[in-house]
Parts: sequence; structure tokens; C-alpha cells
Amino acid sequence: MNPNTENFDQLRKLLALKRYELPPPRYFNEFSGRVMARLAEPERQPLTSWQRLGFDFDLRPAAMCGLGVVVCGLLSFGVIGAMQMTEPDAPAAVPGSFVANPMTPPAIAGIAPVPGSIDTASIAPLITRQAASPFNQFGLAATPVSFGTFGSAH
Amino acid sequence: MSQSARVQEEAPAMEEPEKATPAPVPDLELVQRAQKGDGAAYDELIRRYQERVYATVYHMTSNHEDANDLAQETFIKGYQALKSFKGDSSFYTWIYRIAVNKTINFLKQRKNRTHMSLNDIDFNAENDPDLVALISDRTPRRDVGLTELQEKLNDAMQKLSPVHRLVVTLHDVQGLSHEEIGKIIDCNIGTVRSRLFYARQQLQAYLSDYLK
Repeated sequence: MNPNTENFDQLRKLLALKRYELPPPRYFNEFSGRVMARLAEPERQPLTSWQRLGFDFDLRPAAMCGLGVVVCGLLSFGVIGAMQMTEPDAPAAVPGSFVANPMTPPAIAGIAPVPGSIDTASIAPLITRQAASPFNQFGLAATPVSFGTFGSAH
Repeated sequence: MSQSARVQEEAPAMEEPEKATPAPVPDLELVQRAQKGDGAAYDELIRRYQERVYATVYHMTSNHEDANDLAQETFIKGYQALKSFKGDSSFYTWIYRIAVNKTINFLKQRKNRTHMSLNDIDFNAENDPDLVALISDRTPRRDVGLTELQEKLNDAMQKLSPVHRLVVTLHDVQGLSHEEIGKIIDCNIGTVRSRLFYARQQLQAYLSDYLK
């Protein structure tokens, strides 16, 4: 007899032990029921890599939020761009626009008018800075005015 | 009593022998019914092959939980692919092929992360004359118990490559012929024989302490 065959016979007898390894009792009574129940379930979508990492959130609100941020950003960018493009060197009076004329003191006898160069220097930068305002698009212009109290001049 | 009532009374007596041994519905008929959406027919197919499919997967993985999952997935996949079943092979061979492919893919992913979760040995094993003889008379280590032998055997099985383990499982544990194994794993009989010989040699070397 071939010694290899004899040894294989012993091995085959030993392998027969595996036939006695049985699952828990009544395991097969419920097996087909579990399979049929899983077949009846709606098909589950495979997990995305984000979901596998634990970041499981609904993308729709996040997308809407992102869209809102983008719209606001574009609006802001447009307004700022418009402000910078239309910034004039000096405010020019547009024909037909409203121009505030400096108040001229009334010619009242005994009261001298206030000199024009006394107080206007202090507010001139403020008025010049207003030229960058988007409201200048509508042709509004402001000119320095001087105020004086009647009778303050010598 | 009307004639029809008499016939109804007599009919069970005439059909009694047939009821005692009802002819099993052929697999192909159950498959055709299942293809038309008959869940009960597929349930019957599962019941017919669940033990053999589970056993194959279990002996390949040496893990009850993995075998449970893979056996369930095998039948789920089988149901989903049932439309493509043309009857070229038997349903048994076809479902076995699904189980084997699923198990081999699983083992490739698992690689060396082997965690054994062995089923208990049935108490009838103690009465198996071959095993009793093997343990008490022929095994050099006579103090070995069935549980230890089971662990050593599964350890040795896990050292084989999946394809060699598969051939040993199907032939030496489940008793399938070379031809049937060839159909399941889609290779010729010569390849089955050579794989089986190589796998047995490997196992014999691993288990030399437990074999004469």
C-alpha cells in the first residue's frame, strides 16, 4: 500500500471531525426566514466614504446654505466693485441735479457777512469722502457750505 | 349521501400512499416559480441548500458569524441574479458557485486577520468509531481531546490558501466528487486532483503530531 495513501486516509478520518462542527440548535429553522426578511427590506444604498468616516449628514440643507453664502458674496462683490469704479476725482454738478447752494447771509443793514474761508476747511475732507458713496450714482452732489452767526464778523 | 360526497370521503383513502411520500418538487420548477416572483418557492430552495452552503462557508472561514453573513448574502445574491439562471447547470451547482466566489473574495479582503469562532462539536462525534480510534489508539498524543483536535485542525486549514482549502472542504469534508468540484470552481478534474493532493500534503505536514 502506498504510504501516502495510508496517511491521507488518517487525514481524511481526522477531517471528518469537521462534519460534527454544527451551528447552534434551531439555527437553520430561522435561517430562510432571515434571508426572506432581508429580501423584503428596501435596498440599502451603499455607504459613501464620508459616511464610513462618521460624517453622516443631509447634504441638502448644507447645499442651500452654501448657495446662500455664494449669492450674498456675489452681491457684496458687485456693490463694492460698483463703488470703486464710479469714484470721481471731484464731485461735479450734474445738470438737473440738486445742488445745495451755500447760504448767503442776508444783507441786513449793520451786519457784515461771514468770510467764506473761515469754517469750510474743517469739513471739506468729509464731503470729499462722500463722493465714493454709491448714492452718487443718482447725481446727488454736496458742496461745502459755511455757516456764520449774524453779526460775528468785524 | 350524494355521490360527490361519497367520492370526497373515498378520495383521501385512495390518495393516502401518495400523501405519505410526496414527490419533492424539482429544483428547476421551484426556480421557475421563484423567477416569477413566488417567494415561497425560493424559501423552499433556501431550505434545501442552506445547510450545505453554510457548511462550505463555515469550513472555509472557521468563523460562525462570517459564515452566517456570507451564507445569507449568497442566497440574497442568488435571488437577485435568478433572472440570469438559464438552467445550464443545476441550481445546486449555481448557488454553490456564488457561495464559493463570495467566500474567496471575503478571504482575500480579510487576508491574515483570522479570528476563529468555532461551532461546538456535536456529541455524536464521540461515538464515531473512526474518530475514537484516531484519538485513543493511533494518535501519538493520546491525551488530546476532541476540542483541542478541532482547534488544531482548523488552524491547519487556515494555513492553506483559499483555493486549496476549498478543494479539501468540498471533497474531504462535504464528500463532493471531483467532477462536481470542477463544475463549481470552473476548472478541469486534473486541476482538482492536483490541488487536493497538494492540500493534503500540506495538512499532513501541519498535523504530523496528531497523525501516525
